[in-house]
Amino acid sequence: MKKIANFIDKITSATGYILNYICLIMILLGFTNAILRKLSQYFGVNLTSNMYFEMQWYLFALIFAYGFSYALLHKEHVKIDIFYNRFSKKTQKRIDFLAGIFFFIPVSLLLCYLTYPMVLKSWVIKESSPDPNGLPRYPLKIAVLLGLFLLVLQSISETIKSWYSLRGEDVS
Amino acid sequence: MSPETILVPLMFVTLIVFLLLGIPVAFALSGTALLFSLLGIKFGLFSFDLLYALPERLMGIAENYILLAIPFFIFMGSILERSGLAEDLLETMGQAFGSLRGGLAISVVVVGTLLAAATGIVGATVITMGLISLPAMLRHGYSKKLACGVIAASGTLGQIIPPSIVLIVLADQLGVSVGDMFLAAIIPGLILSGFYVLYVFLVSLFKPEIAPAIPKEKNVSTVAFIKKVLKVVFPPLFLIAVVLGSIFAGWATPTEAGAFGAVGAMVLAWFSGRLTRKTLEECLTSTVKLSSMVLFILVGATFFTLVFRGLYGDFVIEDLLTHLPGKEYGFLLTVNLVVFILGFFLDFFEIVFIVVPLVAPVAERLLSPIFSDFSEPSRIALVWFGIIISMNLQTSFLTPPLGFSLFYLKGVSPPEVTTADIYKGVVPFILIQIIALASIIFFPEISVGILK
Amino acid sequence: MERRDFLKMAGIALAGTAAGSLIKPINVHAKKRIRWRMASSFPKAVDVIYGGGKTICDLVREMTDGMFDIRIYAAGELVPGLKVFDAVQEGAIQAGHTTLYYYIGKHPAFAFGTAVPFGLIYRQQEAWLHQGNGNKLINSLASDFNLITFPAGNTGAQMGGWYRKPIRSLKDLKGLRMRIPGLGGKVMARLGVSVQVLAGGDIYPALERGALDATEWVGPYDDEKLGFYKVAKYYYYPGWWEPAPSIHLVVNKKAWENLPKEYQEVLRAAARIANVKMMAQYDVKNPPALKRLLEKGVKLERFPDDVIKAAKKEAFDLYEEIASKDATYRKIFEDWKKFKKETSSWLGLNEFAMETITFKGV
Ligand code: NA
Ligand code: NA
Repeated sequence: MKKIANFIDKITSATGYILNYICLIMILLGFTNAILRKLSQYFGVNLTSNMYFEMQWYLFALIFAYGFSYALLHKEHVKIDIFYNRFSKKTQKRIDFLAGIFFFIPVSLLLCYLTYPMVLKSWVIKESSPDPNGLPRYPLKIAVLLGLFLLVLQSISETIKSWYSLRGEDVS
Repeated sequence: MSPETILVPLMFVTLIVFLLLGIPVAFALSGTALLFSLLGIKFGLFSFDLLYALPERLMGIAENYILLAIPFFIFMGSILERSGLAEDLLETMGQAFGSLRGGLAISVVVVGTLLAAATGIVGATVITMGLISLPAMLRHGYSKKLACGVIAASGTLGQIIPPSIVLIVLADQLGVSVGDMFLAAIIPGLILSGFYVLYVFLVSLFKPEIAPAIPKEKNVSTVAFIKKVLKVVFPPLFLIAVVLGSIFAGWATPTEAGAFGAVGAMVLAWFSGRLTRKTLEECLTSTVKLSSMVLFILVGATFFTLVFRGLYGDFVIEDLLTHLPGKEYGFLLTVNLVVFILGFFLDFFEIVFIVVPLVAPVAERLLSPIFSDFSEPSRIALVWFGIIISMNLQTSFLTPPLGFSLFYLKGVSPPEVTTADIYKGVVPFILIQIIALASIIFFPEISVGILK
Repeated sequence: MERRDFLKMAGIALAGTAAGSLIKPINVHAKKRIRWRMASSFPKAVDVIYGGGKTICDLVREMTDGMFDIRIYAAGELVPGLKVFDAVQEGAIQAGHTTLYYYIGKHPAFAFGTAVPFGLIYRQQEAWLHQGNGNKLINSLASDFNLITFPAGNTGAQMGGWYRKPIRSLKDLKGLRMRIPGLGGKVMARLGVSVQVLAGGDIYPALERGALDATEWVGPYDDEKLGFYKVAKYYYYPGWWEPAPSIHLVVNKKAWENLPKEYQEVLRAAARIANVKMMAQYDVKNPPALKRLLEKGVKLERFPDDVIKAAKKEAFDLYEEIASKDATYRKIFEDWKKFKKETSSWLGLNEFAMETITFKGV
């Protein structure tokens, strides 16, 4: 079980590292596209493309889809700790474990389950953007589905870890 | 009694219970939604198929270009923080205020106001402000409560000072022009930040221990100090000039201005020799993590709202609103109370969607006579009403237990800052909001005078 | 159906027989209570188009004495405006009120259901859809997506949008930064326009400060509310990319098949009424709005001939390109083109002469 959790964590860490650079590209793209658009006006030539525009939110969608598990791994998801902090360590661990079983896993499974038909339909028709110089949409939707699947895995990993932690064992 | 009149309030209560137990916010929202979708299906209010609207809503968030402001501004703030540029600035500004206590907090309000003029996305401003100013304030002995309160409040200024997504959505729902809404929001926004400054000033006068003055470095001549001020003030001023300038010079949309700020921050850090690959990667990592945290809360909220609507919760609220008191101030009071309370539970977007179409016709009829000396009384009345609602919504971002700004600030706080610190810290600022709201209600000229 | 309900219904039916032909079988079915949800692609502020969906819901409720109850939701309330098609296809909701050309990324031929640049004018669009092969062709395509569609509104020819600087020749389009989605955007991009499909909230500030030179929207009545006239003085016509866009009611096929026959007819009729009503509303609301805009100093300009000519050529080149790659598209395009040609010879003669006399006085 521990091995499974560690393996999942490794995958999530690796995707998280890639996300860093996706984020950097997204920032540079936003900046460059705006500059090129302004220059188009000065030179009277179209220097930019709606593709650069779409690409920004495509990258954003990747951060959206894969960042959830990354944030989960790093316990980045905010909680209200007014009472939580006053609970005993044991109670806190119980809550963490139950949150894994009754919240993380069912929610992420449901998201995956609901998203699958949408992605399949998009893939079958090779859905593309309706807008000028748009990008194909189906690869993006597939990527989002895989991101949600990673969230399922990460939820399982977190639950396993909190189970060991509840039993007083360390996992890392 | 129909099942929805029981399920809807129960859904709100359940959410609060889950949150207070310490379930992560995003999961508390979506877990409550999951549970109540099962109940909704059981009571025949909707079928499982309705949940297939959820992936479409998810894609709606993923494809929403406006939300790119979140990573853009978080990255900018993150670079400023990790390169030490932000701390240099705040510290020096604090010193520049000299014996004036609370100087650091006042600087935070000023920077928050400027940032508010650049973006209108809640998560973006609160997190950026939290990143750059919370560590500095804590290190200089500010009380955690005051530090959190001032940051959370300044961070929400972005909602009222244009450009702002709240104002845009409201203008759309009220059927008034975005430009009018933006104009009418400027002075109320500045009044708020003025009130914040005044509050910090007064509180540090009477309770110096919670907002200490930052002592000037010893043996530094005034000339040398002024030089230092200029040196540290330049980079952030440059950055603000880049962000605002890119919008005003017509290079960037408000969202893209965030990318300009991010690139500008990298350039500055590079010039000051503090941009290493390690710093860059750390900043990117925290940008990805914090943006994902914000986005997942939005996902939870969208799931919650879908089920809320599935349970016909919107109609429950509608029924509540159909019989409002007839006089203008009674009407305003009721609407504001409803919006304020809904603000505990629902995203501003949903509140605007549910409440505004219901009350706008009444608002137009009741409030127009107040503006009989304007050329278009009904237009002015709706704009004024919109500003009142938007300030109320801005307050709801600050209100415990469910104010989203508070979650976001918690997300960037060091572990020693607890939710309780944040909750207690915002209380005075909520009171300030109410005072500001009241002054706009009783002196409409403050907001819509500019449209005359 | 519950067994008890069935017995009750059978009882009613029997009573009907006993009372002779006074109670027709139709009432037996009409007892069936059905609740649907309809998502609109439009915000409530775009009140005429949004109102088309609402008209359908109201009429259906009245005609069935409240037994068939459709609740309408504005854009974003249940699903984002551009995802209505998907949500109906998935069965999350039973119906949607949307425009089919939002979904040309799913199949390019959906554009013909709504409008294409230099396509059919209102009279032709109505004739093609209802009396030509239009609805049949669009529905055979929609059927692959688990949908059935009904025309349910039209805006008539839209306007060409708001420009910060005048467009005096084709040259002025080069590098022009414009927000124009869909096919119109594709044609503009081919003319050298720097097309950027900005998100809703960014459009106004970008146009105001000059990060954008132009944007298009609908027509005077809707445009006035967005206030673009304050930041871009030049208002161009005609909106050649949208000569007469149809708004559609889209229904999930399974939900449709589960409707009693009478309710199907009720829904069909409601859509037809909404269809006619919307055009009439726009024809009443646009003229005074245009007058108000002109009073506010808006400069009305017609697109120059070279722009029109070049755009038309690019548009039809584009259709041929798509047709060469997609058989379904070719089939619909050919039928549409033939219909356009045939009806143009008639409308272009008598109707055109009548309109010239009416509007120009000669
Ligand atoms: Na703002
Ligand atoms: Na249009």
